[in-house]
Amino acid sequence: MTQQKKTIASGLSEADAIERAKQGDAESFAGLYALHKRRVYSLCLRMTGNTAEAEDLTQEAFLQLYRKIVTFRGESAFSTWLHRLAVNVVLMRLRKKGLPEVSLEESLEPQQEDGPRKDIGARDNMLAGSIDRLNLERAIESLPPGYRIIFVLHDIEGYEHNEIAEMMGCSIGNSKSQLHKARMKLRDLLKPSRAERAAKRA
Amino acid sequence: MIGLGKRGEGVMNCAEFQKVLPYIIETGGNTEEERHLRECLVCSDLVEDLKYIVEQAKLLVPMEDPSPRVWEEIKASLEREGRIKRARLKGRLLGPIPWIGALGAIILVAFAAFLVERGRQQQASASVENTTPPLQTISLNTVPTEQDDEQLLQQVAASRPSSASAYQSNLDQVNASIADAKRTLEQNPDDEDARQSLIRAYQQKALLYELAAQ
Amino acid sequence: MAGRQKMSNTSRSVTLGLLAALALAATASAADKKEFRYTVARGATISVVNDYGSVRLRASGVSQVVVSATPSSSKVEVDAAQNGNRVEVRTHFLRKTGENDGRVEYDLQVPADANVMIRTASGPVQVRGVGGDVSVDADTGQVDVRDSNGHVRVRTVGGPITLNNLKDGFVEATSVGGPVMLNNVAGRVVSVNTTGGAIVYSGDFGGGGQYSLTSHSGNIDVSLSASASVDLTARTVTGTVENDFPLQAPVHPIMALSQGKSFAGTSNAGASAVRLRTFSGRIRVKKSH
Ligand SMILES: [Zn+2]
Repeated sequence: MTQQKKTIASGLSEADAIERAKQGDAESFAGLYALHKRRVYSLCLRMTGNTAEAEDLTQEAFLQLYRKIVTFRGESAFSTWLHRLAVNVVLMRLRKKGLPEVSLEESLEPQQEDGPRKDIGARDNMLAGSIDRLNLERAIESLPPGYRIIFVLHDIEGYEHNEIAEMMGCSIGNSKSQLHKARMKLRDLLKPSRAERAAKRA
Repeated sequence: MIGLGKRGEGVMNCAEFQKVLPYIIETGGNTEEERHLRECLVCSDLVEDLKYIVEQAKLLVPMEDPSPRVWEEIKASLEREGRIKRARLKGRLLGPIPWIGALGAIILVAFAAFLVERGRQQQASASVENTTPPLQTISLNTVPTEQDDEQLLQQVAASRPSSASAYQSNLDQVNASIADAKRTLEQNPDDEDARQSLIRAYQQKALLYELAAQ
Repeated sequence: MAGRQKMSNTSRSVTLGLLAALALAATASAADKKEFRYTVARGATISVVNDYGSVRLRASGVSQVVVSATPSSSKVEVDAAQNGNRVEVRTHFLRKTGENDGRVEYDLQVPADANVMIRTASGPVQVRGVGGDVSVDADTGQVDVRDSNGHVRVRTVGGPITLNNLKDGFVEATSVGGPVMLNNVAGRVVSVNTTGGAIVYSGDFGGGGQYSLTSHSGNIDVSLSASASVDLTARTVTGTVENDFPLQAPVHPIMALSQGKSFAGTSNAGASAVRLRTFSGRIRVKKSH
């Protein structure tokens, strides 16, 4: 994907802004920020579930970007490079807080959650048609951090398991099983009726 | 290898299927696993649900911007670090030579976001198993064409019919302003104000695309 | 002028909406109105997404978010929830509905230091007294933000924007076709952009900030108080400019002045930088009384 994108995105527009930013042109910095702030911020927000932290991380990601921009040589698309950098900033922060490792380490241990579902053998209502954006956003927000990160990276941001494994320092199988658990957990969260959920929240 | 003993009667059960599911859901399983999936309602419901979740997740687009404070703090840090010159915004927005590229950059973001969303929707409805990251497939070198404008209007008409005519008339207005500024620039390529007018016209068009995508 | 017309259309539809609400009042029972209350910490974020129907939000002195919502039919419901220090309110269509059945009227009270994000299509928005960041996006809805000292960002397709008594902030107002009115708006950075919408500013460009008012074809009208401390430049490409405000000629002219197309100068200490730009509209600066 990076290769294809490299040729596609090597056009003038963004490249110009990048070159100018390398020379310290303030408008170009601002332009690059304007281009990418929403996606970077959303990424941070979804991974942390916290606005203040997401803003802080967005700031940190762009500062790192601007410090490192002189080293950007167009090996990959700029947005790919930037988002990867942002993911690393978030992961670094979470690692400092010791959050995702806890749930990552347990992932290869045989666990209750790995086993068959409790409701095995009985069909229940299907999800189809019942999720809206807000429900889903909320459910994702309430996932345990380790699950949430993998889910955001794979199912929302579109990273592959091998990329996630590299960034998170885990195995590909580990990434797959974590993702699966995240989706199963989401299914649990989304399953009860609206009324039941409301009652549970209250 | 013949499934004996461990697999009971040689028929896979739900527990066994669900144990391997994480590793086969995106690639498909072997004959035995596929057969269990075909024959077991519980497991096929489960897989359907998971696919539905994945499909819905693909439709989530970035919705929120960070507070303007974030940029101010970034800018202040950059100034302190001496990475950008501490200067009042001057009339000159971008240098005089490859400016058309900069115009592209301005409109691109919003347009790309629009395409991404459309791509995600099409992809999600087409196939859940197709895990190609949609964000990577879009050319960042395009500016919206007339067909894109048409599609934008159709999308608004479908999602917020009451806003359709406003988008129509404002898009017309913006396109006219782009043509306006371009014409003046062709006659007088050194007219800095006309050039900035053109940049702003593209920014306004980008805003329309951005608001339409919400 | 296009901008004016649009505004009167909008205010007419608001009036019609109010009449309709009055007419319905007899039949609509109190049970139709939903109320939600959430206790939040400092700097909470409140977001409201509502296509049709109004959103009125004002700051209160307590650390509680109170949402009252009145749906117009059983085809819509209100989805409200608290997640940490965020309160999210969203109109949820149970079935495909249009502007009449899909309408929900919202009234919210939020703590004074809250951050607010609102998105509507045709619904009018009013935000008062909020000290945190205010961000409003609308298609055709009229947006009115007043008495704030935080960062304010408003963007509309055609909806008129009115900003009143904003201080010390970072103010960004963008409309493609709608007019933008600013009354006593001051801040570190104030930036207004339109394509066809008129821009009307009255106040003193206070605080030593950077002000930029720009329209492609809309007119820009500025009424400036005599005490204003500004360093002002005005320029049009194909339109006209008029100045009735006493300005000192700039010491170092930064742009070539051409008769009828531009003017520049300072008043008092010239603390705030003011840029007025239009492509084909008319710029007029005069003294307010
Ligand atoms: Zn089964």
